[in-house]
Amino acid sequence: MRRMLLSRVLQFPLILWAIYTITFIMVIAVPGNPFQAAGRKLNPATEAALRRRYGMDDNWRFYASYLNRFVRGDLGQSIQYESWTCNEIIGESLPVSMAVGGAAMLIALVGGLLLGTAGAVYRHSLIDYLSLAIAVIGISVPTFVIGAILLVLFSVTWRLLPVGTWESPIDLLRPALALSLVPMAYITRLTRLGMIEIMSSDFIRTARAKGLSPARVIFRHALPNAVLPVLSYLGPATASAMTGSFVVERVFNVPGLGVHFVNSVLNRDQMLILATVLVYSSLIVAMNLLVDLAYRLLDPRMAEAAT
Amino acid sequence: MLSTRMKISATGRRHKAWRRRASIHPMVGLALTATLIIAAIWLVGLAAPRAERADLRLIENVSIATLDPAAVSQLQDIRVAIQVFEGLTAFNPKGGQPRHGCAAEWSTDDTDTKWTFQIRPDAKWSNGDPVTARDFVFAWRRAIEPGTAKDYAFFFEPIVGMKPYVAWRHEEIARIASLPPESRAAARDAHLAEADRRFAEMVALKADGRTLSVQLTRPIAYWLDLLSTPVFMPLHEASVVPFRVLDDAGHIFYDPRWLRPGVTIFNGPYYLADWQFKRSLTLRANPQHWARADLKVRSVEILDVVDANTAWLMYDDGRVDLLPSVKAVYTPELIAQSDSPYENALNHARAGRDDIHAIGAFGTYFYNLNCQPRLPGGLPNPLARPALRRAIALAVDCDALCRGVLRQNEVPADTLIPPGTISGYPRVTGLPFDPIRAREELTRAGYRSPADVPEIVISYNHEANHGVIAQTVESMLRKNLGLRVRTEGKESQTFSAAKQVQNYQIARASWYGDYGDPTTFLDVFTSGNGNNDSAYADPVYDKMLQRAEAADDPAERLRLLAEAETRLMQQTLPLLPLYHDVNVYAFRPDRVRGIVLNPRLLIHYRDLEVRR
Repeated sequence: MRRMLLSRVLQFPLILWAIYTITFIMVIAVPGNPFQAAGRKLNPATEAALRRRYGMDDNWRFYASYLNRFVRGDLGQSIQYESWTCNEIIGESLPVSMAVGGAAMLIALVGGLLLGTAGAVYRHSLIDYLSLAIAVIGISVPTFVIGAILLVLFSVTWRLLPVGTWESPIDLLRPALALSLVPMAYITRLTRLGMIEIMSSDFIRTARAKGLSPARVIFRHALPNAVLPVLSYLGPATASAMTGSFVVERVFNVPGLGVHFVNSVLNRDQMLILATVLVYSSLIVAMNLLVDLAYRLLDPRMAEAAT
Repeated sequence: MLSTRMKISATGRRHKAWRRRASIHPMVGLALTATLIIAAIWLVGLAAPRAERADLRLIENVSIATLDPAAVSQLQDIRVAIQVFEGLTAFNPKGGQPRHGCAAEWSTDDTDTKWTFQIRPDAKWSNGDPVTARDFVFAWRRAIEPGTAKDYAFFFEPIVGMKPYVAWRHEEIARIASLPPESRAAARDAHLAEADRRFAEMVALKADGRTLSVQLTRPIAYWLDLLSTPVFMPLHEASVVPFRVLDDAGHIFYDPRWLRPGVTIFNGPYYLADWQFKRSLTLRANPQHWARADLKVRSVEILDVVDANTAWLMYDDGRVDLLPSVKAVYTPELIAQSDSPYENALNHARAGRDDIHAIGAFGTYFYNLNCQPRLPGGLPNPLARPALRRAIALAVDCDALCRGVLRQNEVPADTLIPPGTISGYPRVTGLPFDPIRAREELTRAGYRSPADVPEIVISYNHEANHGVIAQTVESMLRKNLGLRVRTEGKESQTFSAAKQVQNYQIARASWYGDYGDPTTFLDVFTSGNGNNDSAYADPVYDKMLQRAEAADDPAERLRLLAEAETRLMQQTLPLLPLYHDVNVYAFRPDRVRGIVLNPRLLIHYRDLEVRR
């Protein structure tokens, strides 16, 4: 266990370095120029001076200096939003995205587990088809459609919540709901599948034979064993939910990180591209590590296999 | 017997294992508790008192990137910068001569090249310091120095000595950068000391207390208008210099954090009280500003809402007083069903809501027509023939494009400069829509039939409605001229990169004027201009512009400039104008008073009064 942890922690910088290198090559290879993006063109000498200001006058030096900066926790200065450093941009937007993403994953987890369990216990009943319908809608309807529908329902039809504000915690609700549908759909299907398999296993039959109440059999005996596949899905899903979504953030005017993934690339804001990619990949790697740990804690077979 | 025992022990192990595993059960409970807690926070949030609403609340569709006078170049940034910084002159929304800003009076000698400005005695920085001529010299120098110079540094080129000074600085920096690293620091320090001396000596910019004198290389008719643009605004030297960063070659950079609420000192009618990235920006009345007593709007909150439909819903819901740019998908319908009380607005439906105001902007949407004889791949470029460019312009029905496709009361264009936006500038006419003449021009271009013309590609960037416009033009050229035309959409930056090296035949473009003079448009098409994407090089046109600049009489100058534009739009056609842009404002005229709709799309908040 400890050895596993150690090796994973050691892998961490290696994985990040590989991601950094690949991203860097793509950033350099793609056509376009962040300094000549808007309107008036700069004269070449002025542009050269600006490149120097960002440490981007030479690709090799840029590669080394950015890596060096990143290690010291400095993500550089945005080219597009030139009054802001990437640390400030990410520092302001990541907590917002994490709050929205966290709330979304919570909704997805509670909803998905309940729907999936109900679908498995009452197979081929109305509730099973309902959970299937929700899953299909969640997976196939894009978030911009769901976002727009939520916006119209909550703000225009029912007039429950104001449009586009980011002032009180209740403003989390709509973006979180919109973001939760996709993971909820996956969790529902994974839970249902796991539950169907577990419900027909020997120890459940034993539990039933002992005369335990159905609720106790389902929630105490079956569900904990059925959620293991859900757990491995949760890691990357949480990382992706917590780093925001371009569409949902736009529609609900959430000042999150998601927009920067898209805009930084469109603007060729090379500093911000590297910064967002590195932060996102750090989160994914960290989340996967957490999931592995949780897995080992929950499933003794994994722990035994490792030792 | 044995097997039974094994089974029992296996069951026992499994039993123990799932007892352990069952510890997940409380996790479900935990999740439910967490949900309850979040619900409670929501309820508290609902009950919590909201921050006091600012006197004026508005939405910008594009995030404010910077307010640094040296760097500001986008419209939304300019709109805020002119509230917090004040130049010698200030933009006049009613047109004509600019207003007085910091300068109480100015004079010029009989050559119109030596200007003297007197700064008002009551012009003060937000910390109470007086605004002096030195603050202008500091800011202007910062705006041209390598490293801080940006898009509008070229505005300073007419000041005597600026161009040679900048060139000398670039040379020296290159020299120092080529030295071995250990000797750079000393060379740099010597160079920077020399730079201070040279700037004072070379550049004809003299500060004496509240008097600033400037020597220009030539008379510039729109000089006072130029001075109202952000790049000429002053900076409070003592609060900016601590953020200075030197690199080893002698570039002077600034840590971007010099521009923060509570750190930066402003001299405009407002100061920056709060700035949350991608959320909002709050301005408050500057207690030191000379016009503070007249200010009716004492606080302004600018919300950053990128999605145009969300922005519209927020306005319609009464959450903001002003939407300076309506871009929701149903804007054409809004325009068609509204009646603006403003005379210069373009929407007068005679009935309907009175809070939508469409106004012609100081910008034109056009297509660059590549004038180079060969494309970068080596293929001959048919558009190098002026007659073919004229044929194309004659075959495109801009009126149909505006009424049938765009539907926002855009003005069909036959010229580069939006007509009626510059006072005293004669109305120039370009080529009309005339398919028969278009065919004649095709023959004149040396093509016996349209089939002889090689296939022409219209490229555009995948944004807004550029694709629809390109397809409309494509079908018009096909139908009216019989040409073989193809459209090609590209990602924005890829598109710009290709355009910059003339790797296109017809490419989408637009241009917004920076100051109220025809040259802000006409200069683009001079030979060798960095923004001349058509690679149009016409000595006759260049000479016409030079002749206009040499004219003594302002009216004569404008007439000569109009002649040059006529040549561009009737004979040589390096561009195909399609329409003049329209901006749609949303505000209730009885609530927000004092807005003067103008093509430059700028508003001084100090002129406004908001009644709710």
